[in-house]
Amino acid sequence: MFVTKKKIPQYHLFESLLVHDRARDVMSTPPITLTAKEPMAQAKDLMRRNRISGLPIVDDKGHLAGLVTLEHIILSLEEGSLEDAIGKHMETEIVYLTDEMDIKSVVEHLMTYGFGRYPVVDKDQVVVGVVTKGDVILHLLERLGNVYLHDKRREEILTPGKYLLRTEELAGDQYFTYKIESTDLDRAGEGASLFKRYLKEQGLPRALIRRASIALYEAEVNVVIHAGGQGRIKAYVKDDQIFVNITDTGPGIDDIELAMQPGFTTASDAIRGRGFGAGMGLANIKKYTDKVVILSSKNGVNMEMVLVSAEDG
Amino acid sequence: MKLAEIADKIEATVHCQPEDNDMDLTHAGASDLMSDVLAHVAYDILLITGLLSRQVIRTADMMDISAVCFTRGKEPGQEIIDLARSSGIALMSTDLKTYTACGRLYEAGLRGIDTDAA
Repeated sequence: MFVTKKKIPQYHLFESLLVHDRARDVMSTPPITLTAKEPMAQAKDLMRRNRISGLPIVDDKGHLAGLVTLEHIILSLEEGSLEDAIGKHMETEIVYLTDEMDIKSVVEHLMTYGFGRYPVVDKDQVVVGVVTKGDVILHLLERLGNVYLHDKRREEILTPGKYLLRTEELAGDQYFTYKIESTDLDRAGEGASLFKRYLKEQGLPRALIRRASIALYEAEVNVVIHAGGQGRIKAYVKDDQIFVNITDTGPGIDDIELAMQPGFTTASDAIRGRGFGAGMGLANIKKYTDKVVILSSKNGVNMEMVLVSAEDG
Repeated sequence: MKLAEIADKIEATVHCQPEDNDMDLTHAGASDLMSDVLAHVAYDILLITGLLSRQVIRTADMMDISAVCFTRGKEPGQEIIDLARSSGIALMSTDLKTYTACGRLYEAGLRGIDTDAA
């Protein structure tokens, strides 16, 4: 059998979407398998019933032993050897994947060998799934779909004039600003405190004010603890809705999903000794706001919060 | 429960209270971890804490908590008292340990916050 080596596509654009994905995230599981003792006829029936073009063959412990494909079935039909044991006809030199293999390697295997399906084995060589090109494509589409949804939500919130805080669109005293410029935890919250006073002047519902104040306070403490104490708060109120933007010039958040988890913290013991850094900051912000978008880079964090007066009036 | 009665039950010194103080508290909570207070407390409680810092007052302010009591003999400095006063928060301190202060107030009828009212 000859192998055509195809050009591996330039998919680095998607690489960042897939760095955490492994073969086990892509594969179809549980796998449909047979043992080498069974007749070829059974492989034929199983493939037809399941509309698949190949089957991993396993030993009685589930270890990969071979592969039967349509090609073997056709040959067997021609020879009239459908009653033979599978072991007599199956392919034993098989290209397989491991469940730990990253997506990049999976795609490279697909492109290099050009087979239709690849058994996936775990660390004990037990067959745990099968990967086809279709599986990979579906997985990619799903990932791209998630990104698309995320971008739609972001767009909704960040559309100029709708949610994004474009200060130039706001007249002088219509918005609230505060500059954070201290790493002194004792001073953290000054901005939130002034903000609360500002919100009270706007005559907003008490519960709404409270939610916004707490969320901003948490964000401000984050800037003081994690971002070198350099940041800016901008906010405005419109039709019982509060829009808050906090930017800082810190090192950014490594893994936002992780940081959102209650209890996850990178704060020092010194900070924790002072009653903060319990890992509730971002989780609390999420809890108290109606929308929050966090954009993080190595140059800092840009956070947008939206609060809408609800029945909590 | 009125502030004066609370102070009496836990042998506390009142450092400041709002001028038109007519607070009548029904609930209290104790924590040294302001992050947890921010996560769990509904308003109008007495916050009992062994943590002495401006951030306790800030936290109380943000949460609409109307009274704070420091335990274990921690006396607030003038700066903290001023901050509490300007935030309209009643401030007390007691020599009692946190647990003892909580126990006495629970016995006297102040209840805990076991619902999430955020």
